[in-house]
Amino acid sequence: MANQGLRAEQYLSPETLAQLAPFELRAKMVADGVMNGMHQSPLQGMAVEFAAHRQYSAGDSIRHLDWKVFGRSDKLYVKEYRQETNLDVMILVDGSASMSFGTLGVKQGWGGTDATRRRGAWTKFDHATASAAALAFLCLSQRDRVGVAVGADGLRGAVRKSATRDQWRSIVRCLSSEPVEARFSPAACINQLLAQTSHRTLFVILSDFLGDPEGLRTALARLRHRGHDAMLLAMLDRRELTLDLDVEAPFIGLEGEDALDVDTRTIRKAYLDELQRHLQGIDRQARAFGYDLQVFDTHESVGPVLAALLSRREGMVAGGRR
Amino acid sequence: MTFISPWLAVAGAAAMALPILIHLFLRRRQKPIEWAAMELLRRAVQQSQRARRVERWMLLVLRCLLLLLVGLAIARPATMSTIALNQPVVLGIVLDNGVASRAAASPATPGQSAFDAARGACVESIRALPGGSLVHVLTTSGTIEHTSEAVDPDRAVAILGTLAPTNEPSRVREAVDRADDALRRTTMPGRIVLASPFSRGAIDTEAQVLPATKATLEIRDVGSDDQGTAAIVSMVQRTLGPQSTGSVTVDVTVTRPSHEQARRSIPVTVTDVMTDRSTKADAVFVEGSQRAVATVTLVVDPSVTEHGWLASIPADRQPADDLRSATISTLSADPVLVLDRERLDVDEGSSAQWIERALEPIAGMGLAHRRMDPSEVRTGALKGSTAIIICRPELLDATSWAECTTACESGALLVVVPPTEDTFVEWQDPCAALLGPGVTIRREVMEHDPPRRLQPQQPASPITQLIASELTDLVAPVEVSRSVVIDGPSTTLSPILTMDDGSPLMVLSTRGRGVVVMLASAPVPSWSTLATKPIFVPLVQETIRQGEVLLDAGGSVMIGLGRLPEGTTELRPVRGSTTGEASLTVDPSGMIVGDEVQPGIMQAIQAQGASAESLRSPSLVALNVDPTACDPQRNDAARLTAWLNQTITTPAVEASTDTTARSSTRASVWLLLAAAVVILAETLLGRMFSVPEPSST
Repeated sequence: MANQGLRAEQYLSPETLAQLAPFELRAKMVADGVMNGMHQSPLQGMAVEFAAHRQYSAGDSIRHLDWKVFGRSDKLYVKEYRQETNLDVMILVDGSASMSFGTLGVKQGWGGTDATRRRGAWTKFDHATASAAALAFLCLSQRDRVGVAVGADGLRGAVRKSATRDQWRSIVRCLSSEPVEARFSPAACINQLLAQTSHRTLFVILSDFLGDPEGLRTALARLRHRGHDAMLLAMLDRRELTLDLDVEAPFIGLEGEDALDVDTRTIRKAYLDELQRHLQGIDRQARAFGYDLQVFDTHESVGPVLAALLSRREGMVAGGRR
Repeated sequence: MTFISPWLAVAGAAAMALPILIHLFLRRRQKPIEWAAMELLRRAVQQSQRARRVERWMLLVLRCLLLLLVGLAIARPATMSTIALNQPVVLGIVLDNGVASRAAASPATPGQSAFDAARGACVESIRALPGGSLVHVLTTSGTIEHTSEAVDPDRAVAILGTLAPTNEPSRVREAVDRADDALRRTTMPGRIVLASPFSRGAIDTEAQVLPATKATLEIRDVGSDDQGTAAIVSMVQRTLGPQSTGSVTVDVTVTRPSHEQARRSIPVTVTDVMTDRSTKADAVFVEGSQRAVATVTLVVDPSVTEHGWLASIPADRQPADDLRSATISTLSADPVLVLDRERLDVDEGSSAQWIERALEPIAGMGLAHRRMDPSEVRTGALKGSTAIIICRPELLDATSWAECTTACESGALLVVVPPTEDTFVEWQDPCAALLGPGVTIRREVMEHDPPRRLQPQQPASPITQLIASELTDLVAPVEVSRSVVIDGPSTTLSPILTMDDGSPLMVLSTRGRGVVVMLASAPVPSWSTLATKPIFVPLVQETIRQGEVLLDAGGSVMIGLGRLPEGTTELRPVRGSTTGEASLTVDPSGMIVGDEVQPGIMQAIQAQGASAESLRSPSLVALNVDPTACDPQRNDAARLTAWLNQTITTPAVEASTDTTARSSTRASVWLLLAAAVVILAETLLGRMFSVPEPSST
């Protein structure tokens, strides 16, 4: 079998894992996981961690009255506790043709697949799968349930959420695919995933988001409607980010677009403006639904950017507790 | 527009295609590039590609233009015509008819002079004019303007057909200036065509800097070869008459057309070709003067009547500027004899006093003189006097007149001045008889009120030939209050100066081997202002000098582009294989004395270090031979020609410093400046539309 030789190191270089280790992966939203874990549960009740005092109101159970406070101040306060649960994470990787773009030569220890080595370039898909594997590994190490899906115009492969020992291998096998000749449809993929999701889940979408922003907006709206959290990780090659080419040549689209004669020296500024505008539009959409967007430069290591993202989310969650 | 190096202009034009070919070549070699963010790319292209395409074309055009300009600049355009092809113009034809234009046009066209070639070029330019054009005809020598107003092309061609080369230097600057002035007066676009044998030295190095003209100046250089012209020697031969006492003054007069940036002095060596003795002297130019004279006094054997003196100037001291004339003249070393009685009671000074004052050395040019009482003129008293000035003719008796006549017929110059005092003595008849048959001098003195002036354009005379160019200015202030009337046939009397009514003020006649000059008005203030005006000193001195030259003491042979007598034939031995074309035209009355003379010439030349070894590659030597002064029986023309070719060769005058080159250099500089502007424009354009360095999002 082609995937028999897969090893975790292919996706998670020791360097990457070392960079991620100090951080805990916490969902911003309170997950209603079924297992005890490190994530906050939206259900207040018996738990180990005190949350806050609240004035007693009619109907509250008197079992949670803080009698010590009543004795000191002659006022009725109810003690509230925060219950921690496991996090459900579903990672969706864009497997469309545009993700096969890459201009960076493969480096030792960066992971990747046989296809990566065969192509001789580190593609956006490589970067997305590496990032997805890192996230999945973190979740599994926290005993969170994590699932992975690779999609384009629909889901091309998926692993259901689980926190079992074999889950990691399943995830790796699922990620070790290649982009297909199709365009990415976030809405279609999310629809398919929502059909299999019953608990509140953190959806992590890894894509270049170069497609129609309207489709993405529809997908995010559905996620919001179902009360899920989401993180958008935009994978873009450095050449896409800078257009550091001095050529006048025909450009051919990877997803079947018509060829276009371009002099990069003449349009660079306009292109960079367009890219900036496009990313800002996606970021605006994500923020409108309360989600995050993080741009990944595929020429940079996965770890630092992922660590920065997780650090930011941890800070947001900690702020939310206070 | 013409180019000095046309093929470079073609190369420049061809180089224009280079950026285009590079562009096409690179475009063909581009491989397609796969790209993911095509939608962003498409939108960016829609935004900026169109504007950028225009900029790129502009850059391409600028680069092509740059190459073209550099090519044109290297090709050195000679003239830039700004006149539309079919637009009628006023054409100023400036035809060089100076002395150098007598030279043969080129070895390839024997028989055709440079003047003919220049005239042909002018006719060609006229024929090429668009319909409705007009033409001004000007020449560089003699009378400059031949058309008071622009004429039609056919008329201009007819005028050109009547023109002939002169024996004087070219005044190109003046002619071009006048042509430009004429064109400025018209409303039509103007163009000047200057046709001249530049390379022959007709225009000296300095004078070649042509004036800036408003009209487009097109130069037709008909001097097709690159031979420089240089005159280095001048020679005169004289037969000393019985008046000679064996002492001879040799004057070498060096004239130049311009005194700007010229040498202050020219070393001159005078060699007696009979004895091979050389004497050196310096001809020093006075500030602002165009003429200098080196005077050498030689003692010769009076028993030898045939003498030849050769004046030479070292080739390395002889820039083209000084070549205009290096003439030699001889004078008797005897003092000028002034016949007058010593008087102290004349308030205004006597004629003799004024004349003696004019003979005093001025600026190194003086003539020795002595006074003799007219009563002392007896038989043999005038022996040894070559120049005699009779200031008191009324004091001469018949014997004295006879003695004067004898002296004149023997080869003396007599200058007669009318008496200033009323006298009843009949001096007019013997004086008229001296002047020649048919000459009469009226007894009464004509009173002129208001005083007469002199004609601005004086007749050409050998006496005034060296001051001819300044004569108009010199005669302008002269007023004549009293004069005697001299009548006579034109075959006997030739006018030197004439008054505004046409009557002569100064006449010349020959008698025997001598010359008689007579003034119609005495040089005293009560008769005329002649003596008090600037003309007087040069007039008196030139009368003596040129008058003595005119004495029938022989002719002259001039080597070099000096002042050629009318009818002179030019011998032009040239370099290398073209020697055969040279021929010497000689006249039965001949002056070159065969074998005796030629060794003397050779030694004189060699004495100047101008041997064939010391000189650079052979160049042109022009030998102008007076046909009336050469004897074909006694002169071996072929030998002389061959010898001149071998020996009297001078380095070519910097003929390359022609105006064409100068103007083309100017044009090239302008083109290079334009190229620099193009580079600047391209840089600015590139900077204006340059894309900032990409930054990570």
